[in-house]
Amino acid sequence: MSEKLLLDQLIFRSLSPQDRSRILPFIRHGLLRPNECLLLQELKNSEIFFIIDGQIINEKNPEDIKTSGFIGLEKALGIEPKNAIYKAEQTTHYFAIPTKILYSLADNKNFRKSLVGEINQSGDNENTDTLKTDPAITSNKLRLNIGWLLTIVFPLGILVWDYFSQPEIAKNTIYLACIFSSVVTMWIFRLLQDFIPALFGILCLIILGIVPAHIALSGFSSSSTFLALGILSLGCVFASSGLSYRLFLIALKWGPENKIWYNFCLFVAGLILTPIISTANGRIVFLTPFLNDLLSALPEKQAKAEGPRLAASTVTGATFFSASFLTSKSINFLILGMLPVQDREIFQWAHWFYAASIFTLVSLILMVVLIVFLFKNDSHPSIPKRIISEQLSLVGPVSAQEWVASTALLFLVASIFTQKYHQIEIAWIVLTILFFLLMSNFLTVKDFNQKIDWAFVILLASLIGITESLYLLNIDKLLSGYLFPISSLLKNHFALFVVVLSLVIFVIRIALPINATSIILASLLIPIAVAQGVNAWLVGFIILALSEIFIWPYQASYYSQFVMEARAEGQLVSSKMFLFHALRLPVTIIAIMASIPLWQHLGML
Amino acid sequence: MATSRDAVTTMRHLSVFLKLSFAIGLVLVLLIWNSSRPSILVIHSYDPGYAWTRDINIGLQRVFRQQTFARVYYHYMNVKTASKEERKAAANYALMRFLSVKPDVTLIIDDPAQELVGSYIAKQGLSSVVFAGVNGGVEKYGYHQSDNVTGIFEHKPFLEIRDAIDLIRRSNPQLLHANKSMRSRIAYLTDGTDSAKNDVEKAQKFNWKPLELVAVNIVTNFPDWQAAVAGFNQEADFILVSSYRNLNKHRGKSSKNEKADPAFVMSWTEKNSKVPIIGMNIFNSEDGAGFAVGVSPYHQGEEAAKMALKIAVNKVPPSSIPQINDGLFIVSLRPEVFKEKKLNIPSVFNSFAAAVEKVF
Repeated sequence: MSEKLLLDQLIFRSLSPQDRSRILPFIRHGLLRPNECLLLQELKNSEIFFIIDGQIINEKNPEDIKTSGFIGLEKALGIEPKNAIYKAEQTTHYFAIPTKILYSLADNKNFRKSLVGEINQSGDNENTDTLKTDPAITSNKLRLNIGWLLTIVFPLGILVWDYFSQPEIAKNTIYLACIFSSVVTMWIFRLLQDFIPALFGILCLIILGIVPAHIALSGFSSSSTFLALGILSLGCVFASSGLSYRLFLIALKWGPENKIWYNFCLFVAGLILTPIISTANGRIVFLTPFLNDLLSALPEKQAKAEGPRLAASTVTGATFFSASFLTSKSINFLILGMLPVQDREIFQWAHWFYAASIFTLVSLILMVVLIVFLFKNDSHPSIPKRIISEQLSLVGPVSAQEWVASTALLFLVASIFTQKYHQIEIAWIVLTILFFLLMSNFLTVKDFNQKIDWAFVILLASLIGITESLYLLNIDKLLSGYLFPISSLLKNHFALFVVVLSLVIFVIRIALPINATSIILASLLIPIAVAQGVNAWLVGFIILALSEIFIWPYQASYYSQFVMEARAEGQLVSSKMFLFHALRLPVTIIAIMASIPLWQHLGML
Repeated sequence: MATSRDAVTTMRHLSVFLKLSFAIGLVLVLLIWNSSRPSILVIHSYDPGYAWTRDINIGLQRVFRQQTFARVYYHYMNVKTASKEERKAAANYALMRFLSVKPDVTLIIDDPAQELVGSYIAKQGLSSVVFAGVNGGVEKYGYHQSDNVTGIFEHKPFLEIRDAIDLIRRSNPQLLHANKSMRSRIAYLTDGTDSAKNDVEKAQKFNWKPLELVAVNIVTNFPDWQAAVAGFNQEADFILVSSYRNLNKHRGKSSKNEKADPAFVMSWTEKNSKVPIIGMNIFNSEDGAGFAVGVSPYHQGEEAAKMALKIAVNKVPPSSIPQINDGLFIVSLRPEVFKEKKLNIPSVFNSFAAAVEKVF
């Protein structure tokens, strides 16, 4: 019956089969006997009702009689329902759907449109012009003002210093330092979106004639940029195909009904998605419904007991291994783009993973041990396979989109592992796949325009140009000389360097987000590594791995998102969870140290 | 009605079939074409910012950019100032790069890379080898036992250096030493890299007449270098400088890893030397020396690239390409130094340096 509701109601037709399938476990069937009441005001934050049969009347407005259809649908759009008490005049059957799940789906434009249409049709449209709005962004004006002030002061300060102390540094290098100081200040104080300061940087480099335009713009012809573009497109097709949801359901259906398997499925789903979807936020958005489905399907007590571990498995699988794969985060492309040409050519997908393999293996083992012991409990949750089978049947047969996504992925994986033979750079293979996706219209031009993170593509290309300019002006050697203690530590005491860097990053991360931390440190340390003859990828990789560590939700946007979207049983804001996050630091350091022999074997150290 | 529906279905199937054929065809063409393209891996001993390496790359690219069929990859070992362990790591890293590229031809530049990588590749017969920038012989790398090796030597042009000094002193009579034989005394100063030591051996055997090599000093740090320059001011009429990138900044072991800035070393030397400095590498003038005569890095790059293409694209066996030792040289100048020291520049050098864009 609930399936019928979902399939028959016009408003749900705009949802994908996967989303409709996700709603299924949340639907509650209810019964009102004559004279029993539905108190809409009291239930305003919990459920939306659909009257199947029978009759209810609004006691505050006797003309408002319902024999079928929705009550309180406006809650899905974030609108407070009008005050009403519905009383059953005869035996009434209804479905109740948690408001939260529909609210989260209201981001889908078509569904939102259907909801508005349905509300308007039912006459409950008094407040539809105050539709769901994003939580207000509280801007810290003091921070912004200080930031803009420093953006002006730093370059002026450098010019004044140059005027009075007359250092033996070329003028172009001084001008570059001025520009770079402004760009970094904009990043640190988050004055603008990340890509805008980078764009400002290359603009100044070109207009002031500090480097030739072809060097400043070299990022726009770099293979790293095209690799990022291709992987973002592929991730977009994969995410909208529903393939991973199907695989998740199949795994649940065929696996044992116990918590080890559920945790394994969430962890592995995250791990598999890591190299495919190039943003941690994207993976969290993608996986949170899986976790919520599991938690809602479990009995409440058991969900509460096992919830934190399931949440930890989800977040670890989806985010902890971001540094292990080239394609798992957009910032990784940036680090790749900052490497000298030969390292850029070497650390393509397979070699990146190979060099990070010991790190991945050790941290995987340690994180599993941590998840097992830190969240130990005696519950024995299980989900009836009947529900999973029903969900699978709702998803329907394998769609053309799923076939294409899996074929494209297989093609990419095969190309990566046969690169030795065909010798085509992975960026161009990914670009070929992008061409096929566009040609066959599986990635529509509209999606290509809207779903690709073009701001990131511009950031990446601009930063590569800025890094090339740094090398051209020998800033790497200059930095290496000025920061001699760091250079010396990096060259002569690598293990100590890792420990010091981890502490530095840990402190910086209290104030700065992951990407800004990685960009700033990489722009400083990669040139020093190059000048000191230390492998630049190593430094970039360590920065990436350490920057991922956080304790409090505000430090990682994907975790804040996870907190907002995951069910309460996950207990994501708890002291145990904070301890779990904090323990990621020693795990990461141990995994890096354990990788040193491999790096030495590869001649990287 | 049914017929038109069938026609639409057939057209749709045909469209899918054509698109699929196009996709598969394209992939096959790309794969087959690409797998037939030869590849060349250029392994440099030093880093791309080093003037010698940079100029060799200019020579290489003059040839390589005329074609796009062969893929060319570059690898920089950066072992100019590396310790023994670092050289070993750099060798492993370069070999790993070699194995991932699997080139048809490996073009190896300068002695360290020949020793660390080239000897292994040639001995194992992993690919054809073209060498460049080799100061001494190639026997120590085992190249003489392989028929898949050819290349170009970089022997210091002592004959041209001698003639150049002779011309400079004749253009500046005050430089002619006041002894009966009219022999000007020259002193040789260098750091202790292997290739520099090779050059010293050859310099000592060379017939410098009408000049006379009166002193050779191999130093490891900048204070010793400064002391040597001060000493040569009394003993010599010209100072020959070779390599100085491996000089430690200070004396003693604690400063082992802090190197003296090459540009500072050269500009200090020129400033504090009472006698003319003659560089034996073109980049000496870029660093601050008034005059240098050196093997042409452009020529090294161009010849090596031509050989690599012959082997990779035209499938000419390396053994049938003769090794080159033609000592083609160029000169570089820093006129302000001559002006400060009140010396005349022979006009032939002025024109030569200007023609090869080496006036700094």
